[in-house]
Amino acid sequence: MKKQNEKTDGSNLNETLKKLNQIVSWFESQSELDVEKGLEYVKEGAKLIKSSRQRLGEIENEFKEIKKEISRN
Amino acid sequence: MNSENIISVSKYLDKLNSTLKTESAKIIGEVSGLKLHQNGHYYFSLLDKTDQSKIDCVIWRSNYKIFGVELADGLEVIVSALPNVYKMNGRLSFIVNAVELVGEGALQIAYEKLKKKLELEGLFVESRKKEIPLYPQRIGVITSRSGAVINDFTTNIGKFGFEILFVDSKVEGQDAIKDLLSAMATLKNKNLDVLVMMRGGGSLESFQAFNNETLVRVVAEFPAPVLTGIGHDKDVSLVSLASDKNVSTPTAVANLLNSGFLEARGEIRFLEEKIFSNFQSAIFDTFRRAEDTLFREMDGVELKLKQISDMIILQTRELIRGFSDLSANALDFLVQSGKTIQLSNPERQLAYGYSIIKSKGKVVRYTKDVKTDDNIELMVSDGIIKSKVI
Repeated sequence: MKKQNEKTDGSNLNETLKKLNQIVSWFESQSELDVEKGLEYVKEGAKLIKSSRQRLGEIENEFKEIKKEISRN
Repeated sequence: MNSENIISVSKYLDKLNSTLKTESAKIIGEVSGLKLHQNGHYYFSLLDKTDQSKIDCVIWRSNYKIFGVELADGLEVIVSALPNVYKMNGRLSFIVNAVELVGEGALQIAYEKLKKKLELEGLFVESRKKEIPLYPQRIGVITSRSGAVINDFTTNIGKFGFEILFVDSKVEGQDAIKDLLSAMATLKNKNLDVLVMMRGGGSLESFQAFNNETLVRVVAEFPAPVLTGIGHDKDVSLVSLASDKNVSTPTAVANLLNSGFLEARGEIRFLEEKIFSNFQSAIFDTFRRAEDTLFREMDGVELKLKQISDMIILQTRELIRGFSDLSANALDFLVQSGKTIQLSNPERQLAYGYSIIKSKGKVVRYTKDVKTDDNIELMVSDGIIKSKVI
């Protein structure tokens, strides 16, 4: 996995969300009872959720700053 | 006697006339014996009524026209004249350079008469007047070099790139006529935008030149518009009436010439301000629109962020639910499997009284599987019965 300092976990929010979506879809379409794989995916999903929340928080903060800046003028 | 001092009659008279040129005078008297010669010159005697002394006078045809005074026997006049001996008859006569009427009453009558005549000719009607240009550049100025008039004019005329062609002229008395006419002739073909004639106020007598018929006609026919600033006491001068525009003072003349430029300057300033304010509001509007768009877009961004946040929450729930379902299903499977296994366990039959026989560790299914005296084990529900085949 590539490391980028400015972005949490190195991947952008869009990609993170896409991956998360794939995992959720996997669960929805699951007919075999592969709990081992399920656990793996839950772990990865949890990580993705954490990183996307963090990134979203950063984006929201940055946006608020910009908005404040504009409103002041 | 020195013969060098003896000269001919003709030469003597030439010499005498030359000396007499310095003896010009203004003489008052009454016109008498006025005769118009066929050559167009006027001859008359100027009579001093106090003692009947008289002097012969002649007015050349060209001058008579200029004077604008209609002579008649008995009319009291002032003549400006030069003594001269007429060589053909040796008689002294006065060559008249100017004639003025004497007394306000006579002047008034002459003024009214001429005014009426010129009026009838249509010389004063508005329709024949030329427009004073709004932005004159070449300006001819006729007035006296000395006096307050020219000073007032130059003090008040603005700096609008005027090109002023000044011609000095007498403006007072009958003598002024020739000066004024000559000044006008000088400026006639100078391609002027406007001609200005000015003089201060004064009595009707001092205005005579400006009521002169010849001058009035020259003013009316002048190629450029004529603007007069001729002050007056009671009656407006006939030159003023015939000019294209008349104002009362030299300051007013200057102001009129300035006015177009001043207005233009005001207009330019106004338009300049308008351009700036329009430009400013155009910039402001554009900025405002851009700002509005930006704020609208920001609302969009905010909404999108909210959607993403909601989606993460939803996905989190989905993930948890997905895994819970999966493990619950797995558990169900285990339970079901256990049950199935339980149901299919052969040992479960023992409870019903069946038993399983084993010999040497193997399940006995047929009689041939054992022989007499073989040890066998009977599995029952609660234990094993050891036995022997008989």
